[in-house]
Order: sequence, then C-alpha cells, then structure tokens
Amino acid sequence: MIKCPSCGKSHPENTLFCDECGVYMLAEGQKRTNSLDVKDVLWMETDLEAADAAQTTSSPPIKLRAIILDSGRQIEVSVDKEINIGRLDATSATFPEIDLTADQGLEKGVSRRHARISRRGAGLFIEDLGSVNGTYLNGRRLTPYLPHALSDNDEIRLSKLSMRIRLG
Amino acid sequence: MDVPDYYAELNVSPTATPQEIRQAYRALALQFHPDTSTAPDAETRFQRIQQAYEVLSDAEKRAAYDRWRVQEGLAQEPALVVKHTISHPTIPRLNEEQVVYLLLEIYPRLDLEIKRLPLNLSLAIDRSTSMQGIRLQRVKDATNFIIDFLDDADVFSLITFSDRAEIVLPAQSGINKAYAKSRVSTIRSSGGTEILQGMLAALSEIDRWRSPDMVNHLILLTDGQTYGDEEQCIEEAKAAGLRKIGISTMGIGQDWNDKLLDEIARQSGGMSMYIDSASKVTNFFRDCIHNLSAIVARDLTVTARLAPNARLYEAFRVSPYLERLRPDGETINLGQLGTDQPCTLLFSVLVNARELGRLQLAQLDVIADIPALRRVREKSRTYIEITVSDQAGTRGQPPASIVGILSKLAIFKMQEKTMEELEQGHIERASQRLETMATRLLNLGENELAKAALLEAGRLARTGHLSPEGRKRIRYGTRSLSTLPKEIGYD
Repeated sequence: MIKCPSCGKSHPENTLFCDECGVYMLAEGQKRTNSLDVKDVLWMETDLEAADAAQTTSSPPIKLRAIILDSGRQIEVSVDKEINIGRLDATSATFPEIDLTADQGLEKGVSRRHARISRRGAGLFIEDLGSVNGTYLNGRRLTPYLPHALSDNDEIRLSKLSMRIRLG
Repeated sequence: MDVPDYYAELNVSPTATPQEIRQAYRALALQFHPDTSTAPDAETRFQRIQQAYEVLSDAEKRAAYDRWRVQEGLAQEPALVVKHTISHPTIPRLNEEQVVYLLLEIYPRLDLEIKRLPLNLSLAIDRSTSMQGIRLQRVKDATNFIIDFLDDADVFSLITFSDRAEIVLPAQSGINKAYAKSRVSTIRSSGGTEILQGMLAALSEIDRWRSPDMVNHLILLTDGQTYGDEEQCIEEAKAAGLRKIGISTMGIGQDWNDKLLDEIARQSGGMSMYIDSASKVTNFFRDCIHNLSAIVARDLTVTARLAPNARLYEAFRVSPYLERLRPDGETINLGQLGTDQPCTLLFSVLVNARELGRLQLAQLDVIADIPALRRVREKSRTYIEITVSDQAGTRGQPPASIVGILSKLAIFKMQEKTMEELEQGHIERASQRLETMATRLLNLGENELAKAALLEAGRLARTGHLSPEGRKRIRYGTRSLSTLPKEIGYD
C-alpha cells in the first residue's frame, strides 16, 4: 500500500492519482507547499466599490517590474495578458509568468499557483488564488479570489517572499 | 465455443508468409516454453502456440483453416481498430495487490469507406409555458436546421408536448422541407411538462418505420421537471433500448431533472446534455445529427477476461464524454461508435503478482455490429501482457496519455463523491471536497469550472444546498472535461 502525500489515504501500489483528493501521487509530496506559521494577520478590507473606484489614474501601464526584495532580482513582464505568480511545475502544467522557484519560493511557502495580476479597464488588479500561505498587499492579507487594485510602488508579499511592484 | 484464431495466437496477420509465421512461432515458443518460462499460464499458452503452428505451417491445413475462417466470419479485415496502452508494462513482485491502468482506444479503420445509414429520427420538444420567447424561437431555428440536413431517405417526425402530446409532423421519408418548416412555425407555448407523453408519442412514430438498416433515434428536449411519470419514463427508455432506439436528452436552463434525463439516455444507449443558454440549442442539434449520421458500429461491447490473479477494479468511458461503466459480468456495453468519435476506455486492474515472468493480464474481445458492411458481431481480440520483475527501477514514468486522462478522471470521481455525500447529508465534507476540486481544476487550467465549484462550495457551507444551476454546471462540466472545448454562450 502507498499513502497519498496530500490527504494520507491508502491506495494500492502503483496508484497514480488519489481518488480522495485528486492529487497526482508521483509529483506532489516533497514539492508541496507547506503551511507556515503566522501570528496576527491584518486582512485587507473587502470593500469592492472602493477597490473599483481606486483606479482613476491617467495612462494605463504597459510593463510591470517585480523587484524581489531579498535578492534584488528584477523580473519585467508585459501587462497585456494576465500575469500568474507562483512556482513552475510541469507535472501540473503550471507555468507562471513570474516564477519564484529560484527565489526559494518553495522554502518560503509560495504556492505553485499563488496569485494573479490582471488588467481591468485602465487599472491593474491583484488576486490571491487560494494560496496556502496567502498574499499580502502593503502588509494586509488579501481575501482569496477577490481582486484588489494595484498601484505603482506597492509591496506584495507571497507568504514570506516580498517584492516591490513598479509600473510603467 | 470460441473459434480459435491461430493467426492472433502467433500474433501475425492472416496474410503472413510461411517465413514470418516460422519466425513468430520460434520467438513465442522460446518465450513460453514450460521449461524456461515463469509465466503462470506458460504451459497452456505453449500448447496453443504449438497447435497454431502445426496448422499454419502446413500449406494444406492452412488453406483448409482459411476456408473455415471465412465461414466463421474471422477472415475479414476487422472494421474496428483496437489500440491499447499500459501504465506499467513492468511491475514489481509484491505480496499485495497493485494497480495497473489500461487505456483502450477503439476506432474505425481509417481506409474504411462507409455510406451513412438513413435516419429514422423523431424530435420531441417541450412546449410548456416556460419555453416561451427566445427559448422556443431558438429551438424552432434548430429544428429547421435539422430539416435542412435531411435527405430523401431519412424519416423524420416532430412531436411537441406539454400536458399532452401533439404530432406536428408524422413520421415520413422524403419530407417537403418548406411544408415542414411552416408546421414548425405554428408551435406555440402553453401548459405544463409531462415528458412521458412526449416520449410515448415520439417512440410510436419511430416504431412505424423502425428497421435495423436505419439509425432509429429520439431527441428529447425539455426545460422543466416532470412529476409522477419518472419511473415510467425510465421503463420506456429501457424498452426503447431493447428495440434499438437510442434517446438523446437535452435540458435547457436549470429547472429540469438531470438525474432523470441522464437515466433515460443511459438506459437507451443515448447521450444527455446540458445547455445553460438557448443559443446553444443549434450546436447541440448539429452535434447530435452529425454523430448519428457518422455511426459506424452498433452494439459495441468489450469483454474482459482477466488472469486469475487479477480483477477489474474500475472502468470508465473517457471519450466522447466521461462516464463510469458498470460491467455486466465480464462484458461492458458501449452502444454505438462514430467515424470521428473514437471510444476511449480506461480500466484499472488490481493484480496480485507473486510470480516472476510474463503475465497475460487480460484477454479483451471487442465485438460490434457494422451495419453498413452487414457484419454482425464482428470480433477482434487483444491480449494484454505485462512482466513481473524483481529488478529495482523498472517502473519508470507512466505514459503521458494515461496520466492526462487520470488527472481528469480524478476530478470526475471527486464530483461523484461530492454528489454522494450531499445525498447522504454530509454537507461539510461535500463543501470541502468541492473546494479541493476547485484547486485541481485550476491546476488543469479549467478556470471557469473551478470558479463554479468554489462558488458552490461557499454556497453549500452557508445554505446547505447547491444552486440547481451550479449543480448542473459541475456535473456536466466535469463529465465533459476530456473533450468539450471551452465556450461561453449568452442569450
């Protein structure tokens, strides 16, 4: 018998997918995002109207630069498509535009599909994708799947990995 | 009694040269010689190989055998191709059961030229009050689309139903298209929904022309619940299936009974569909008609005889849509097969491998009628063999095709479990499972379905219920994971 690395259910040898939680038994396991301990969390206020109204700036940005605070590494991406942030994982077909594998993403608790930045009208919005350890915007945790307006110079923290966002 | 297929036994084609036969025999005899082979069935297998070679190596005996094959219907080139893939061609020897996944693809031979069979089609349309407006208009457009498609040889009838059924167009061949369309335009909505009424009227129209040389089929479209006649509907569907009449069912909107329509389709060997917007009716009719006119094989069955130390754990149809198969003994009924719709199946087999060597895991017989070639119960046999080994590292990566299918099946099974848990009142567990399912769906890039699952998980946690629309979205969405392109339609 082998045990599912995700939910612990027992399956016959050679089983490829856990039918309890749907996990691919060969790929997950060691590369799973661990839930890290966090103490007090300040949640972002979930005021939808305020979030939508916040974006009245003049010219829409074309490029987005993410600066990893620990290493100083800079990642530049175009904003005309949605930008996924997470860790590359071929077995689950996850290919994020901003891949944080090289920035100790796994150790710092970044999920493979962690957050997403997308354009809505003239503004950019960031959305947590139900990540294990959460996404923080300027120190406040985002409610999963609720997009929040993103501005130049904002600090995003994915679990324990921080980056500054520059738009232009 | 089974007809021995000596060519299959030696794994050569019926046109093989004597030299090819000799080579095949030598390789197999070496492999299964009881003195050296460790395969559990080596001795019987070796005897069968001996016997096959004795006949096929002798020109006179071979000619006699060939004549006999023609009589027994074995001599034709089979119309269907059966291709198999094994997840673990080599498995370790273990003192416990282990899983081997088996992917089976059945499709018509590419060079097969088949004239389409004439249709004997009846369309039964719900015209209850709720169909009023754009819905009924779209259904009329779609009906006209079918009328335009028909040839003179096709038989068509049109039924509408509410509390009772009306025959708008009685079953006839060579219909006058202009007249038929003018009849369609007279359909008005009113009354309630009684599916049984519509089914009975349509089936009796089909019965008037029913023939094994036609595709006898009923398309049933409804947007409402039917009350009190559910069991009779299923009985009628079962009886229709026995008379070789397939029923495809289609529900519009969110108020209809998905379980009932699924069951009607399943019992008769048809297919059930859900559309969230009336603008998709024409697409559905087009697909339906297209599939019906592309039918190559009917009464398709797969019979799986497994090794004594193996058992079938689960069986699924993967395409055209996901479905859990319920084997009837060793045999699985699969209905019909179209030219451009291969039938893909996935079996998971539990095997208790305690002895080293080759193991004949399964013997699969695919049997089908090919009406256009007038072949009845054409059979092709496939042997599935694996190796049991003690060597470490023999397992390797399973084929991507199997992993891809299993990833979708895993979600499909979670959906099944969620619905079971809901029926048993385990609300919290069902809600959690839906949430996990949403994560897996996101991994596969199925964002729309993931959102629906997440939304319903929240709703379930708050209210203890799924929305009727969300429930259908999830059920039919997971079922179509393997095939349907993602499209969104609006009224």
